[in-house]
Amino acid sequence: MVNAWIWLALLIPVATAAGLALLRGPWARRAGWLALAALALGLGALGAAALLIPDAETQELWHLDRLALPFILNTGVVSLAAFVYALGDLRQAPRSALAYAAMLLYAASMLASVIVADALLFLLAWEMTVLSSSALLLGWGKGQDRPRITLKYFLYSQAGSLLIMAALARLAQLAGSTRLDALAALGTSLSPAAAYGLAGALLLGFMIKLGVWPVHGWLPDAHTAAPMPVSIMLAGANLGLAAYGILRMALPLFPEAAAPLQLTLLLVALGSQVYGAALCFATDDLKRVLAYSSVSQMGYVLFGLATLSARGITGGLTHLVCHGVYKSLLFIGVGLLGHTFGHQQAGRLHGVGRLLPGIALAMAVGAVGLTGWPPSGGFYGEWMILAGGLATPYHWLGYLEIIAPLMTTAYVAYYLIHLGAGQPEEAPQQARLPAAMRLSLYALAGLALLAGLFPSPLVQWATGAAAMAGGGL
Amino acid sequence: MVLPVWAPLAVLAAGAFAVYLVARWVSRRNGLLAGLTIAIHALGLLCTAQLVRQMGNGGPALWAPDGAGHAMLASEPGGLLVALVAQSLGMLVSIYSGRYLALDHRYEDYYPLLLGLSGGVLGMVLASDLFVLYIFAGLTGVVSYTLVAFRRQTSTAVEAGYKYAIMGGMATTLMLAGVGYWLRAGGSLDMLAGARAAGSWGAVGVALVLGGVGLKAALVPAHTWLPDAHSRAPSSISAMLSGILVPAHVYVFIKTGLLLGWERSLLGGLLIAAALLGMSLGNLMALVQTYGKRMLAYSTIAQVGYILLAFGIGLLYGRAEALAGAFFLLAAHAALKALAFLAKGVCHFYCDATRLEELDGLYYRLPFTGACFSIALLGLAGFPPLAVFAGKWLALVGMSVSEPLVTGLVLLFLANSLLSVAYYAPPIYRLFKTGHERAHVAVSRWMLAPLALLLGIALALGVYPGPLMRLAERAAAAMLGWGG
Repeated sequence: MVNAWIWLALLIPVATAAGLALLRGPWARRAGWLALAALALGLGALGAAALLIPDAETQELWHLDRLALPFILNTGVVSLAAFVYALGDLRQAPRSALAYAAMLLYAASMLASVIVADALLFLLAWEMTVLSSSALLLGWGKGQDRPRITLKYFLYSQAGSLLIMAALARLAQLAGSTRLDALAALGTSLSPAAAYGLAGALLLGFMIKLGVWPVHGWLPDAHTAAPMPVSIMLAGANLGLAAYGILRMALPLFPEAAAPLQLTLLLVALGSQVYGAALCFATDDLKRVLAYSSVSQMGYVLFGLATLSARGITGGLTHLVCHGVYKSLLFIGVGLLGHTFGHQQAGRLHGVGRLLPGIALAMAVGAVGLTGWPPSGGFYGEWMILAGGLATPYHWLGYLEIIAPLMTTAYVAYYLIHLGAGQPEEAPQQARLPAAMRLSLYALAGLALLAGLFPSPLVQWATGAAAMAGGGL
Repeated sequence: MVLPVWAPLAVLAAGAFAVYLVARWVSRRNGLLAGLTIAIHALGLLCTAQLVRQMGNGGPALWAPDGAGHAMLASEPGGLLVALVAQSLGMLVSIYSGRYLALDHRYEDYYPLLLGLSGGVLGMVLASDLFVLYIFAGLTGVVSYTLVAFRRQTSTAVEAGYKYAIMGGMATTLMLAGVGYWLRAGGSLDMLAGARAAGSWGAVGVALVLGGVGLKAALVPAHTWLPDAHSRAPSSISAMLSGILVPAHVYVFIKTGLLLGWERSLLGGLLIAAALLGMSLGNLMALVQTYGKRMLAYSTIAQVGYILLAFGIGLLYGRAEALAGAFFLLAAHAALKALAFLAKGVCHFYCDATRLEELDGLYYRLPFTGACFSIALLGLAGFPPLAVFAGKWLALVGMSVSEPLVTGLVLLFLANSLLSVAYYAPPIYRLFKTGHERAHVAVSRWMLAPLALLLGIALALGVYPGPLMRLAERAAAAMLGWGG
């Protein structure tokens, strides 16, 4: 029964994608709606399986357990927003039906990589996210440079995938099974050297996807060059899947002796936070600012996970889901500015808040969320990350965790004031924005406010996931 | 009825003769001759499959015509696996040639030679007598030199064939000298009998035989003939050479080394060294190529390096899993490399695309072929769910040994895999580039069918590796049984 729902959840998007790729004529113009409908149906089926059926947790091929839930939620919300936005954004693009098909594959493979319970299926889903996003980046991205950028993204992703694959192969050999729960159960029986090496390989592999400094090289370019809906999915959902991988596969391998690894991770996380935030001041392209802000924010997530405590992991996950909403919201806002003015250079967008007050206000909601000031949802996550950090043996690093939020506040304030205040210098090139694009912005702003005012369900889900991931700690 | 071991060989040999006669005296229609060659390959394949089915749990079935138990051929699982791959490729290449050869016309030369190539490989991998091995290695060599230089109107093809012939001639001469020394030192020609030559002359003999086989297996630094030969031959022949001929020599290298008394660890160490050189040099050189087929040729050196690495680690540490992974990788590489060469051949045949930049936008003119070429490149790079991914996974699982040396080797293997993505990916981008001519080109079904079949095989092996893996596991067990 559960299996049937999950098969439906994956087959509907994949089959629709295949259909869209073959679509010609007048129906091709409705491809965006078909894609959106397929995604919504797929997510509905997944939700039905997770919520309606009480013992849906673990099946032969799938698991819909507490650990998967926050990530499904995150991927689902972000993808829906990206698809709604794409209704307006990709409509005029050449071969748009094909682009929607690739987006469907991208979303489906992201969902699949969270719910598959087998290492080989995980690798399949993981590589499909790389392939579909690369195709979108290459085929519908911006700029002359995108073959080079795509290759860079592809090579970085492959480096990560190969490390993950090699570690999983070694674990599969030890466990005599390719089921992920069997691999995770090995944790306590591994020799310290093996656990150290394998956890290191998995962590490095996933950190490349997470986009943290110093293995973030692909991220700013890819986020800038990708078409906007893909940037949204990449930043809002795909980066987060790396955190899923760390929680599902890498953390259970930590024996208690792996303290040196923890220090390295915490330092990398701090470095990422500060580096990303600093670079946000260094560029004028708003999309690039958001990309560097992802490097910084993923540093928070990694810090939370690296505390190896239930509270820190809960904080990391809460922050991850909130960040997905904020970052999608901000990308959509920047995309709307780009549509209106034909560019997204902060320096030339002085005072646009007066021309587009609604968009500016919605973006302010997301931007304040990034800073983590109450009552935004970002506050709860960052607070728990900080608390988790102070409880580690390296609590002095916990105090340093305050630097990045201050820097974030500074760059958010800088850009908000810059865009919001003063007299606009340029007139809009395009007066009307497609309704779908505005709808996705306001819906996400609503969600962002909700997450800040009523965070308890979110925190509960994150707590459940953290309890499951941290079971072996 | 129990099928004798020589049955598939007889089918191919008689078939080659028959095709020649038909071409000379009955009809010179390409379709008919290709059909005949396909049928002969299919029959040989059936015979080989029957030999696989007949394999008992005991030792290999032998063919000993002298009645005294001196076996000439032995049907052992590893050899049969390679033979199955060789004949399947031969059959698919025959289908492909049904159209591809229309520009060359010399059917009465081509099809018998193609059958000779499949038959030579078959005899080589099943031979259990040292002299029989030499004969078949020589036969395979002569046939392949001729096929590389098949387009004798192009000087580069003749040059490549000539170079290959010189190198191959050296290799067979070394082998013959080695057989001589081996006999002089009192060794038995019957490799399975275990009567080994004593003293340093025996050792020289083995080294010479292995040197000869290694030269033809293109073990770096003896690989210099390969990029020329594999890129100048007709694409159909390149598919055979890269797909099976070189890996078959690797198999013969290991089999002969073990049966003639080399220590498993010594051979394993040697293979690992060859693997490191091969995969690093192959990948680095493939990165800088400007011709598609030359890139694929260097990629063969790299992929054979992966196969060597799995064999080497398996032998050094006595791990059957790694050997089985290597056998699987061998078959997986054959399917995807053949797909790549055949798809590339279609691009050349219809659109005259030889340089990589001439692939620009070719997908829109040759949609199915372009898709196949892209999938083949992705597959060779190790993307799931295709065969090489399964092969790499199985090899990685097999190579899981808790030794710092192996960890280092696996890391080098991963680094090489990553490096290879850098040349497998850009041609895909070229194929899908917009802004070029878009008029569809109708491709003959003779050429589309083998592409579709190979795609199916590559996918089936990736999704459902079980049946082939079982044969590979038996081959691995047999190989460990030979080791001293």
